[in-house]
Amino acid sequence: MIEFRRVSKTYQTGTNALRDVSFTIENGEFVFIIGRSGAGKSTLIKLLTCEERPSSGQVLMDKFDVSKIKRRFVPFLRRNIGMVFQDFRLIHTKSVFQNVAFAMEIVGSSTKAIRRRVPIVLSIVGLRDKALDRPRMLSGGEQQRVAIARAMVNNPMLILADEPTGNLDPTNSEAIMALLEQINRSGTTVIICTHDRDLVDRMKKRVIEIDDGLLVRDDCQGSYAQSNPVCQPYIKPVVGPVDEHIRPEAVS
Amino acid sequence: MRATLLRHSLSEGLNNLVRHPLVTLASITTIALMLFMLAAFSIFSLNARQMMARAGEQPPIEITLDIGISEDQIASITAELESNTNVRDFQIYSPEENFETFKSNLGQDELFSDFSADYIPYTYAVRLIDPAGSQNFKDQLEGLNGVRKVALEIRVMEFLSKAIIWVNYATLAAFIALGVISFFIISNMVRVAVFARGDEINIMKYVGATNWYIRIPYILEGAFAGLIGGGVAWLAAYLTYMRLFDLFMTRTLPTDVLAMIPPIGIAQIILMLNLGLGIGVGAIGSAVSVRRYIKV
Ligand SMILES: Nc1ncnc2c1ncn2[C@@H]1O[C@H](COP(=O)(O)OP(=O)(O)O)[C@@H](O)[C@H]1O
Ligand SMILES: [Mg+2]
Repeated sequence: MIEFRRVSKTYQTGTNALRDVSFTIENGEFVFIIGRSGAGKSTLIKLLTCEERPSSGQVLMDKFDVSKIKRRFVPFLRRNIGMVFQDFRLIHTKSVFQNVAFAMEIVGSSTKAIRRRVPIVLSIVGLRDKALDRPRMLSGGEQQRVAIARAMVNNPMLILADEPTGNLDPTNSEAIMALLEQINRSGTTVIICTHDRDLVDRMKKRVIEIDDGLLVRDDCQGSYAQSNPVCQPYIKPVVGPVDEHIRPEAVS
Repeated sequence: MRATLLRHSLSEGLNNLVRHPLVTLASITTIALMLFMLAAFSIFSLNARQMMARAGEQPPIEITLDIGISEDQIASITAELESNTNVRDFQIYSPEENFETFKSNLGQDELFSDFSADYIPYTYAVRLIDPAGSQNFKDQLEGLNGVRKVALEIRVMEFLSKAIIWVNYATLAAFIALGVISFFIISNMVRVAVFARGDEINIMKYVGATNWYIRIPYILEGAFAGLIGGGVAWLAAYLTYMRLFDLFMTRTLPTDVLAMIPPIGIAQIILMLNLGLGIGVGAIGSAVSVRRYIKV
């Protein structure tokens, strides 16, 4: 279970990236974090991976306050989290297989385990034939699937995807989402940051919306607009003009 | 698991060296230069020490006593020499013995037929353990009652003992200066390597690599550069010394006080010194810089 308790984050520049944000995500949930560019989505993710520390409040994972975790234990926290980024972040000097195997090597898996596990994961993402290719030879969608294979290879309890479809066309985006949903069905918690409204609406999943650092919406089965009162325990009143992208007519 | 880590670290470390050949070359050259100078100083120092040790084995110090000295005073000076910890051994010569030597040196016995040994002093010939302490020994002995003069016959010894001190200072200074330079060059090498692979390091961190997992290849890279630099410096120093040895030793006996140590005799110690320090400076230089540039 992930819990944000009144989390605020002010960067050294004085930017208030998150303000008094609270929510809970149960194990095995599939959640979208949405909001405009600069709303604070990436900051929220960075607090979960300890790349940043909150200025106040607590970030709990399974009742464990990750915001107070010692530096040298951070790698061990991250081994439980699979990360997926907009820009794929693959190592271009390594083959597809090596890119995925690398994540297992880092955590100290045996060569035998690596040889057994990597082909399975590459099959799941549909890239078994491309195991020996370099990432640059693949399409964007395929590169992102390599990244997902790398994120899931160590069986993390949580997958964090920051704008995973940001560089992809709609077809590829759809495929990536389907893949993440499939991983979620095996019990892995999946949190996806995105500003791709259409995609979120089609997926009918829980949506947490951040605007200017404030949590403005927490919807189950989410389209942007129709908020479900049952699952919005921490909703704050929306101040100021409602952002254009959450107007009902935007919903497909 | 250990084997995987070792294999990873070794192959990454070696790859880093090859990836930026010019930077690597600069690092290796600096380390080699530093270690070559260090080797040169060490070789000089070793030779100077050997010369001093040889010089110390000759009976170089002569103590002359006052003329007409009493048996008691002689006994107390003898006792003093026996108790002095820096005296290797000594020999006392009576006035008669000295007279005989004197006469035989001149080769004209009849000239001294009515000359009495009463006008000739007792003397000691002393060999010290550590020739560097000879000035001290002289001052100490000349302070005793009945001692007229202490002669340090071999000036070379004095020169060598001073030279060794200066060589040691120079070695230390050169080592510190070059060590600092090497350190910065190595730091820079690692910085270049770390920045060139910033993305990869970031990915490793996201996947949960520990700091050591990320750092060890860079530390090995530094150690490799140091190892190669040390080897090059050793080879250069050895070849240079061989030439010098051939040049100076053609007309000198190996047993001469001023004979140089044969090249084979210094090869091993200089090799160990160079490799040890090369690896040390390389590894520490990169460890420090990698700590600075890679943070979780
Ligand atoms: N390292 C940082 N230092 C200072 N300000 C930052 C930093 N990272 C993000 N910000 C600022 O914090 C706000 C939220 O950023 P971010 O979390 O990246 O938003 P999003 O991912 O929703 O686009 C933005 O105004 C951004 O400029
Ligand atoms: Mg972002």
